[in-house]
Amino acid sequence: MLTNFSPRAVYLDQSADDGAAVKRCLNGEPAAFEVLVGRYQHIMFNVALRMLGDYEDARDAAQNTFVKAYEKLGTYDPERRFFSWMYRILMNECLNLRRRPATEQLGDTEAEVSDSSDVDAVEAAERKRDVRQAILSLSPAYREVIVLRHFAALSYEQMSEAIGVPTKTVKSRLHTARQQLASELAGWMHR
Amino acid sequence: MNPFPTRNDDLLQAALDGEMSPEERIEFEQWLEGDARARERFESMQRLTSIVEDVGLVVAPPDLAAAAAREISLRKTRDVRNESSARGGRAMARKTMIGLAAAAAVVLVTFSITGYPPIGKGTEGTIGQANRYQAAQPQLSASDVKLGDTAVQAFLQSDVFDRLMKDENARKLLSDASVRAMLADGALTQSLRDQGVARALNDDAIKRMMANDALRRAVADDAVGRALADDAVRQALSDEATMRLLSDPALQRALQDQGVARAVNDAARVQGATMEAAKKAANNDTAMARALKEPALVNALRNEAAARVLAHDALAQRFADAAFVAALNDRAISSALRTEAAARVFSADALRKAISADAMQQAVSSGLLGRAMASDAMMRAVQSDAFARALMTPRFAAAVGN
Repeated sequence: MLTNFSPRAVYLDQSADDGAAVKRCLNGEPAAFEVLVGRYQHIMFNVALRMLGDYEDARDAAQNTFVKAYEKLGTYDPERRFFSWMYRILMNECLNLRRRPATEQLGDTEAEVSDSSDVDAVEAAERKRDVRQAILSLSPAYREVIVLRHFAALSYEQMSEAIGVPTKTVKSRLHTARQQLASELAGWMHR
Repeated sequence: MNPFPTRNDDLLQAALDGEMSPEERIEFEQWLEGDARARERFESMQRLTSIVEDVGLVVAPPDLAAAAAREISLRKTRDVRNESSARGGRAMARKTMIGLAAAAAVVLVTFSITGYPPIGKGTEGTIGQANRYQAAQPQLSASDVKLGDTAVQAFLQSDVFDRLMKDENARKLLSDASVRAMLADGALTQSLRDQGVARALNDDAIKRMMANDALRRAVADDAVGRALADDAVRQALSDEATMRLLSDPALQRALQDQGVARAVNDAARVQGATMEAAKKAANNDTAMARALKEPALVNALRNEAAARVLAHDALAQRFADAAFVAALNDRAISSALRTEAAARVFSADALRKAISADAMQQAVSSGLLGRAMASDAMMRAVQSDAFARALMTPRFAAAVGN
C-alpha cells in the first residue's frame, strides 16, 4: 500500500501543566517562569526563525516574547493553551522585527557549506536554502500555517486556537500554502 | 491553483498531517487504490513534506533563557527605580514650590507667630486674639507670640490668619518644634522687618496664594528650614520685586504644574543641592520666572525629557533672552525636546557650551534650527562633539540662521 502514515511529530509537551506554573509565578514564585521558558524556548525560537528568516531577529523575538509574557502573565486566561497565548505575543514581535526584505534575512548560522567536495551535501544545502527561501516568500498568513505545521507540529485544532481562525480556514490556508510551495520547489520535488 | 480544497484534497491533506479518522482512512485508501493520479499527487505531497521538514529545527541560542531572565530582572529593577524616582519627583515638586513661592508663605506664617511687621502702635487688643488661638492650639507656647515686639493686631484679625489657624496642615506646621525654632532665628526675624516684605504680604495676591492648598502643604516641607537658613534667601525675601513676582497668578499657575516643578528641581539636582535652586529662585530670578509663564514652555516641561534638558543651568540662564524663549515656542524644537535623544544631546557639555554662545542664540531664534532638530538624522549628528564645536563658531550660526 502506498499510504505510509508516519506518526505526527510532537514538539510540544501536551501533558505539561502550564497553568500550574503560571499560577505559581503569579503567586510570587518567579522561578516557576523559568520552567515555562525552558519548555517553550526551542519551539518559540524555531517558529520565529522560520517566520523571520534571521537568527538574531528570531533570538530577539523569542526573548522579547518571554519578557512580555512575564510582564502580562496576569492577563493569561488559563482556559487557553499557554502556547497559543504566547504565540500571539511572538507574532506581534515578529511583525515588529520584520524590517528588512525577507530575501536578505538568511542568517549565517544556517548558511550551508557551498565549497564542499561532497556533491550530495552541496545539493542538500542548496535545497534547504531554497526551501527556506520559498517559505519566506509565502505571505505571512500562509507562512505561519506551514511553520506551525512543519516546524512546531501543531494539530489543526492547535493551529486554529493559536492563529485565532476556524479549523476550516487553517486547512484551506495549508492547502494553498502547499500548492504555492510545490510550485516554487517543483525542481526539487521531481529529482 | 484552487484555494478551496475538494473532498479528496481534504482527505489527502488529512492523510499527510495524520489528522484522519479511521473512517476517513478507509475512504482515502479506497480512493488511492482506484486512482493512479491520486497516488501520484499523494506521493508528490509526501515529497514536499519531506523536503520542507528536512530543513530541520535549529537549536535555540544557549543563552536565550538566561538573556530573557536578565531582561526581566532589569525591567523590574528599572520599574522600582522609576517608581522611587517618581516619588522623589513629587517630593521635589513640593521643594520647588518652596523655593519659588512658598518661602513667601512661610514668611506669612512667621508673622502669625512673630507678629511682624509693625503696622501701628498699640498691641493691647491683640492679646485676646493671641490667647484665643493659644488656647485652641495648646502646642503654641506664649513665647511664640511676641506681642510686645510687634503690631500683630491687623494681621491676627485678618481672614488670612483665620484660615491659617483653621487649616490642619498649617497648625501641624506651627506645632512642630523645629519649625518654631527656625522661625525664632534672629537673623530671619531681622530680614522680615523689611518694609518691602510687609507691603508684599499685605498684597491680596499673596493672600490668595496662601489660600492655595498645595502651597500651604509645601510649607510643611523640611526644605523650608534649609531655605530660610540661607542668607541669600532671606535677603531675597525682603525684595519687593521678588514678592511681586511671586504673586503673579500666571507664575503661580506655572509653579503648580508638575512638569515645571520637576524641571526646576532637576536643575537643583544637576547642581547637586536643593539649596541652590531655592537661592536661585529667591534671588529674583526674573528671567526664569518670565520664561515659566510662557504656555509653550510650560507644555514642553510637562515632558520629563524636555524638563531635564531645559532645567540645565546653562539653558536656564538663557531664559533671560527673549529670542531663546521665543525659540522654545517653536513647535519643532518643542517636539524635539520631548525625545530622550534630545535629552542625551543636550546633556553633552560641549553642546551646552555651544548653546550659551551668542551666535548660537541667533541660530536658535531663527526657527530653522528648530525644524532641523525634528529630523532624526540631525539628532544623531548633533550628538557628536565635532558638531558641538562647530556650533560654537559664528560662521556656523550665520549659516543656519540664513
